[in-house]
Amino acid sequence: MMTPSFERFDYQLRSNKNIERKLVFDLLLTGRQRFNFRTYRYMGLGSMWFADHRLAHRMLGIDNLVSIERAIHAGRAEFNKPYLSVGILPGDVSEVIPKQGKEYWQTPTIVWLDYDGLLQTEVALALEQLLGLLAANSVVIVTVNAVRRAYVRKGRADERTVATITDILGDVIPASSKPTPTPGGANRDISEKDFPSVLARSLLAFLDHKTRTSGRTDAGANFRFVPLYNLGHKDGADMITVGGALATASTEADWRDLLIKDRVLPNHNADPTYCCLDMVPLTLKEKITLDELLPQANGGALLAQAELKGLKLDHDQIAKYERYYRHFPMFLETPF
Amino acid sequence: MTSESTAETPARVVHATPTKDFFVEMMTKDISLTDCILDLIDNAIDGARRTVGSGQEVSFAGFSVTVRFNAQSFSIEDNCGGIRLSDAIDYAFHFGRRPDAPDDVRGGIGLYGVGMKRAIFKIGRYGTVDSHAEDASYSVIVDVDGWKADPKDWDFKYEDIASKTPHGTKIVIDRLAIEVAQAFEDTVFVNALIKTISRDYAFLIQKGLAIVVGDVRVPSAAYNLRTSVDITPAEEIFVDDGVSVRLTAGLLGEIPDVIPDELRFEQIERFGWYVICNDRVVLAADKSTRTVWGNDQFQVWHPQYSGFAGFAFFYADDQRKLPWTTTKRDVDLGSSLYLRTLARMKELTRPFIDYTNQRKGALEEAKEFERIAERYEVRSRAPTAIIGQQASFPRLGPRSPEPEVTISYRRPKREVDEVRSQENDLSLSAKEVGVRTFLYYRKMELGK
Repeated sequence: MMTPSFERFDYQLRSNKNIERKLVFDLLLTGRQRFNFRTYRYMGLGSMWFADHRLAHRMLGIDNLVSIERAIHAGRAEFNKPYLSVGILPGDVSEVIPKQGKEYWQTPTIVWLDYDGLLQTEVALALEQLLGLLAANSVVIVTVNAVRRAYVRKGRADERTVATITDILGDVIPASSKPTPTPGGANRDISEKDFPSVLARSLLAFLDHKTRTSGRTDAGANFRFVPLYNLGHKDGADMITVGGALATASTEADWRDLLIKDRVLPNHNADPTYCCLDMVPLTLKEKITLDELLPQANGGALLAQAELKGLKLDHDQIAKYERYYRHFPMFLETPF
Repeated sequence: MTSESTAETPARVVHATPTKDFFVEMMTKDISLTDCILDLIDNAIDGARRTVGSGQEVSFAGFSVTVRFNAQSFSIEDNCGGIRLSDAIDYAFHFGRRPDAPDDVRGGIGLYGVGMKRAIFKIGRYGTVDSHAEDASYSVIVDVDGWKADPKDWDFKYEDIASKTPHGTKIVIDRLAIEVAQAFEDTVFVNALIKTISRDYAFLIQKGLAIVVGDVRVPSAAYNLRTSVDITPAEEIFVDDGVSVRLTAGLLGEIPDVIPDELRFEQIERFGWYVICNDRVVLAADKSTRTVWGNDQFQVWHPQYSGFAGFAFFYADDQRKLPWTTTKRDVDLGSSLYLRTLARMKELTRPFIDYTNQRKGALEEAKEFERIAERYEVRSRAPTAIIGQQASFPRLGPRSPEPEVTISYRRPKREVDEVRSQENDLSLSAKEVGVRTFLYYRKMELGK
């Protein structure tokens, strides 16, 4: 059996994941005037590190914190939980979710199913279950591995990743992202480069579709899924994080407004466009040098100034740093 | 008793005058949104058919139909000749076919004079039909609520507009129904619509017609059967009651070795019988009593028959002779022509059923025969097929001399998933997980 990821690395020490986590919570933070997150529950897969639970508590003021953990690791998670109010729910996600009663789901919840593994049928099932249970104005976020080769079905009649995604999520790959057949009629597949963004867009379409077909209504109008996150990050393997809010007719515009007003996450008409966090780690000296040049009042001058300071980083890395420097972490060893 | 009225007694009649509500609210319930859009595409194709003429071997190259929609609006635009003003005034917007209406387009697929109005009523509350035809260019406004408000006036107003070439029709529908707007935003609906168009108009797309949905040019679905010296499809051609009928049936895809516990629709969606009327697919991959399966004592569909496909092509210049319903999504089971054809379809299906039973005893041999069979497009005739002959399949030898047994056991799904993850292939079937773990044991413990 594969070693659990928390035994392989500390989640908090991955730069791009670290940035992504902050971006996710930063976006919600801008909506705190409209949505009283203090009354929300945060539900995640805290593992042994509870990085997202810490942010939910610190940034959004959420006390009601829940972590789902496999039964065999639940005892260790209980020991490592950072706050008294963190509750550990032992079991697999798709088993744990339906076991909570209807009353439980009356509390609006921010759920982040932050997997480090592949998108599987069980993940899709858990998401569908959540969309059928979560209270209005809850938020659903999911992270999965998006390494293309892991989705190639060897020895199958149709080995293409298109077939794998369709098997798991249904026919949700947007037509414009589906590769067209060759002139000879052979089916093409999604390229390595495009795979993470196509998988992310497909997952968003899945969440949207399952919300529409859940039949859930508020004041006679159907629930709507408002996409908020369409992210990729790379700390080694390609990972994607997508999610959004389960809005009602009266709150849909407020949720969309969060994204429109956000200064970091890109969007097109309030629809999040794919954004990949793939920055290389910086040394402390590089970070301090760049920080001293930021923020740039008019933009565009950072590259030239960085070169004058002797920085030897690729231009696109410097441009990305400028975008995310507020969230960029620095890890240092401390003796204790 | 008499129904005649006198000064003292009122006429004894029961009223049967239609209401507008019936057309707007009721008739639209019996048809899906997708079928309404297909009705509009049918109308456009009939326009093109008028130009290219009747017959099965005509080309639709150069004709296009473009469908666009979002949560606010729907439009369909074609370059297929437009609706003549004289036809619009007297017939096209009439509810139902008038007895004095001119003959339908020969070889066409539009029917009964309901499609366009029904589609507008289903999709939204405000439609504009702009037509540029050889006799005039004009615009008809269909303001549904305004029209409904006056129970007596059934007519729609039109106004002249500047002429444009190439001639064609553009229908724009606004004030969408809530559920329609919802569907238009749903990727799954859009994909399903594209797939349906690809499947139902495959034979017209193959003849050059371009259908575009959003930014996607819809490809033609590929309908292929397999043929070789040993595997030949059935082929029958006949004319019945003025309708040309062609039946062909045989091996389409891989026949499964075992039926998986969790059979998904995608795994069987291509198999079954297809019914095609004037190049428009009416039934696709049918596995019900509407074709042969379970019909009057015939075998019901079973996943064992996966791999089979049969095609019943009907063509008639007079589309009213074709065995289809108003929605063009079903066959008319009361049609004598269809019942006679159905009997032949059953005959053509039997050899395949027999073969799937026979191949169980010689699986590897059968798979080798099937593997070397080549695909060909069903619209053309297989080089090995002989008209009037049933499908033929290889004679398979006796079972492999080494006896085999089946091992079957149950394990928690989580454990099977662990093996899948370890093998880095989440799509492994449970059977394959069993085989691999068995082979692993033989290698590690027995060194074989």
